[in-house]
Amino acid sequence: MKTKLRVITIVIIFLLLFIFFNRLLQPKYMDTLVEGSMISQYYHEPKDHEVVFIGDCEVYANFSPMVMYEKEGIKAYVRGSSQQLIWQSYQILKETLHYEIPKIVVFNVNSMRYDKNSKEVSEAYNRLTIDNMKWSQEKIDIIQDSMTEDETFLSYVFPILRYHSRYDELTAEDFEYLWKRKDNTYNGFLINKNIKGVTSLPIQRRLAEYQFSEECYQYLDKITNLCRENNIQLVLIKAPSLYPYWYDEYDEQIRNYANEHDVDYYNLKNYVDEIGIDYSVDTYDGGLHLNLTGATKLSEFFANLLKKNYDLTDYKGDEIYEEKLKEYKETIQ
Amino acid sequence: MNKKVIIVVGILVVIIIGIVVYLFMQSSEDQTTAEPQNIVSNEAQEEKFSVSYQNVDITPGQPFDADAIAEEAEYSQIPSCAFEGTDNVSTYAHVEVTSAQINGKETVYSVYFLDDEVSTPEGVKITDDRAKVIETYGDNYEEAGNKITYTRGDVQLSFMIENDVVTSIEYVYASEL
Repeated sequence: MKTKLRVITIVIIFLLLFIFFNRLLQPKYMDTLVEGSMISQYYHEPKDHEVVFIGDCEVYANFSPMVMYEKEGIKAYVRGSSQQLIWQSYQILKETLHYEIPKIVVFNVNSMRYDKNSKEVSEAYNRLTIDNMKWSQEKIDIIQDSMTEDETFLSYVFPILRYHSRYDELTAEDFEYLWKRKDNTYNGFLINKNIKGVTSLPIQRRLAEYQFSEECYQYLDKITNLCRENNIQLVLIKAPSLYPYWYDEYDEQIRNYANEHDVDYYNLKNYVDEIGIDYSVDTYDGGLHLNLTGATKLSEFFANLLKKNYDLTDYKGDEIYEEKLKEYKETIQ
Repeated sequence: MNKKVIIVVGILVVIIIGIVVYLFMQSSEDQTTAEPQNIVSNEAQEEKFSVSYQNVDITPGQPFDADAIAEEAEYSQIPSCAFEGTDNVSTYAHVEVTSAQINGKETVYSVYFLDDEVSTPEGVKITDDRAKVIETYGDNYEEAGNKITYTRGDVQLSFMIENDVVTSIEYVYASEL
């Protein structure tokens, strides 16, 4: 009996220490690099969204679900993350469908330009999307699809293998959020009130290749099929960012794809005047992402577009959303 | 000590040793992969591309002194989506220079020719034909789509060639940032 107790005690102490250091050394993404916390915030949200956005920073910076609710009573959620690549968007969508089946999935097509050999594919961005995903088949697949040459699967299972050298970079944030989390977004929308208008942009360079890769098309097909199988309306969009340039050749390919697969595509840059975006004040980084005022204008416009063209419920008056909206308004004051 | 306790402690020790060995091997790999890069870079330094604008050196990988160029540039910043650090883009009449902070110094990352008013030090400019490029730089290049790329040291020189005509020229710092 005594022996058993000793064994159990040793095992428990070892496990507790391992879990503690594993957790302690992993970045928390709560006060710094908050983009890494967005994917996990979804898990404790009510799962009754009729519209779900997937994609990169062009969704989480530009679309405010709270504005869409206020304007048209739409319940929406943005499952975006920094540099979310299309193979990641597919897995994020698959994971989302375990929790809920929305009426509409909105996919921002910016990531079609990057294949797995692109220099934009990096571990740092992979971590922001994957680190805080709940364990599921989708997490296993997203790791395998995303890992760069220098990464190992095991380092996603045991973050201590990747972050062991962070011991001298630990800050108060690491201890404060050791076991708890806080929400950094409103339904996936990351508020940025700063203003940095467009003064000049780099020259639009000629590219060696404008054709999207076969690999990206395969994932776009997978997204399209997944939506179709679940009776979801897929809506492709290109957010109205001025940079990186969305070439006409890119636009044409998506337009053709949308026609061939009977899905809708909106290049929102073509609606800038209607939306009322003023790039001298409505962006926080010189035209890459919209700030709060720009995102508000875009979200009002897009909510109206969705309401007019698709069968969506008007949830105005919903208790939880009214509370959220009140909190959102206080935050943006 | 009881046999069972010894076994459990043994297993835990093996796991800990395994993790330590794994971490040690990881850091060793980092060191071994870092060394050849330095050697390659040093060896190739002599035959590196160089480029200047208005008699100011703007070779990728070298410090960028915008004040040394008399002409005023249009200036824009390209931030990263989530991480700190930005690319600084200076657009002059005939070239666009992208620079960034590398090891604490503003360093040229790329130089993009905007028209045929400037040429490479070896004499190739936009509107020249493919034959002139090959004649000047040789046939040791990589080709992807309509772009051919020469690498010397840590600088790549790329020519976009459409319908046999050079339509763009760009120098890029090829080292990891």
